[in-house]
Amino acid sequence: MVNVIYGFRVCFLSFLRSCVKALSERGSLLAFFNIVFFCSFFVVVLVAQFLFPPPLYSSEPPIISWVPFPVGDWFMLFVWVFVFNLVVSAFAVVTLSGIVFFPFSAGFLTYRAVLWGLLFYSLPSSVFLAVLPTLILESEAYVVAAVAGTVVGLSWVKPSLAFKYKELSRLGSFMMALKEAGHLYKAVVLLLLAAATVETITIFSLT
Amino acid sequence: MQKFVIEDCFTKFIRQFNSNLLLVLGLSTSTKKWLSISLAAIILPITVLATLKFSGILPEPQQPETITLEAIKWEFTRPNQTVDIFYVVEAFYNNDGLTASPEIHIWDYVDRPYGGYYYDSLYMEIRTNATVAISNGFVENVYITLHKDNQSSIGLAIARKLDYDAENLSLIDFSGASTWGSKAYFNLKGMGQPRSAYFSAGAFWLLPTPNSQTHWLNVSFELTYYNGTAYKKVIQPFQLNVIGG
Repeated sequence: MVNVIYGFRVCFLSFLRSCVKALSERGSLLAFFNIVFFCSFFVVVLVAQFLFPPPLYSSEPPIISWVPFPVGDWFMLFVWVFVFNLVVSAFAVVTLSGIVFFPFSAGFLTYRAVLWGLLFYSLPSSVFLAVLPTLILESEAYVVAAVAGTVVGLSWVKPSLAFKYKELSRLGSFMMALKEAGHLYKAVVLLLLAAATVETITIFSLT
Repeated sequence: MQKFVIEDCFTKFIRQFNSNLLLVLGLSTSTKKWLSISLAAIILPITVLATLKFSGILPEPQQPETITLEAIKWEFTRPNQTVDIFYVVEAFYNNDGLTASPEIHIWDYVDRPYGGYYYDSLYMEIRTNATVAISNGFVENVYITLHKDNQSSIGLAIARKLDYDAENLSLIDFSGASTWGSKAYFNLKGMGQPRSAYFSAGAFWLLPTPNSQTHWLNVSFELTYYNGTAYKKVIQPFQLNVIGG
């Protein structure tokens, strides 16, 4: 039993180390995307106050009506939120688009920040406070996903820019970027797992 | 002995914590700088937004002011035969820049033998028209409910999402009401903050009782609009009674 726990701890720490190493190698890109995302979100929430009429109060709790099962099943809700955010929101929308053409990652990330800004401006303070942890965790996951998409997208367009101090062919650079994106995606999975847990708890406490 | 065990655990925990912390602290100065910028990029905007929200500088969502109008009544004695009625039960509201005309067009009463497969029914068309005559005003939503007694039922003609007519309104949700359900409803939302809106849909009021039986139906039109400064909700109730013959 002790060995299992020890083994699990070693695995988890090496998992964390590889995440932190991958993130630290792309620190500047991570900082840039964080600034883009959170500043866009901030600006949209503020601008929406002047452009749109004040939001209408809704007595109905904000439940997700698009889930294909009853919201009462917390485990299914958690799995659905996690899988949807990972596969659709992070991978298909943010990363895959960046792999095709690297500025798309930043574009879709900003688009999400704008949408969330428009959604958040209409929330009452209590709900705003309740959804803040989910917002931060999920946003950070999409920021890391955008870093992964940009790195891979840049690697086949301009390998010298993706890996500055290495002389790599286009294919070699692409393969190396894919490996790096894999390590970055460990962080995305961790963040989205935490976000799905917090979001499930938030939905249950709000409904 | 116990004290030493606790101390040992505590020392192990601190050592573990430090080794984990070294994951971050062991990074180069440049990396730490970028991670600090990342953290600042998250914390600063969120803190400022939360402060603005809780200090009341960013406005809270508005509760609409509710105006309930006097109920309009209509009564009809159940005949022993099928009859065309062609009667419009209507209301008209014109105030504070809003002009609204909720209407119930009652088309016909169909009499069928009691105890058969089909029931007696009253076919009606629920209709509403609204215009906001203020430059930055708009129709926010329209919610129509049909509350009934627990012996009759409401069958909506919009079993498919095609059988209704709407202008500048999107049908979010709707439901009929069986004998054990208490209400049928239409939930509509203004599309693109419209200054005028129109909705029309058919409904069957099914009466599975002998002709001597009386039934009631309360129809309520709830229209929420923005008058340029505040939201207002106008409620126009209708009371329909079918008196046993």
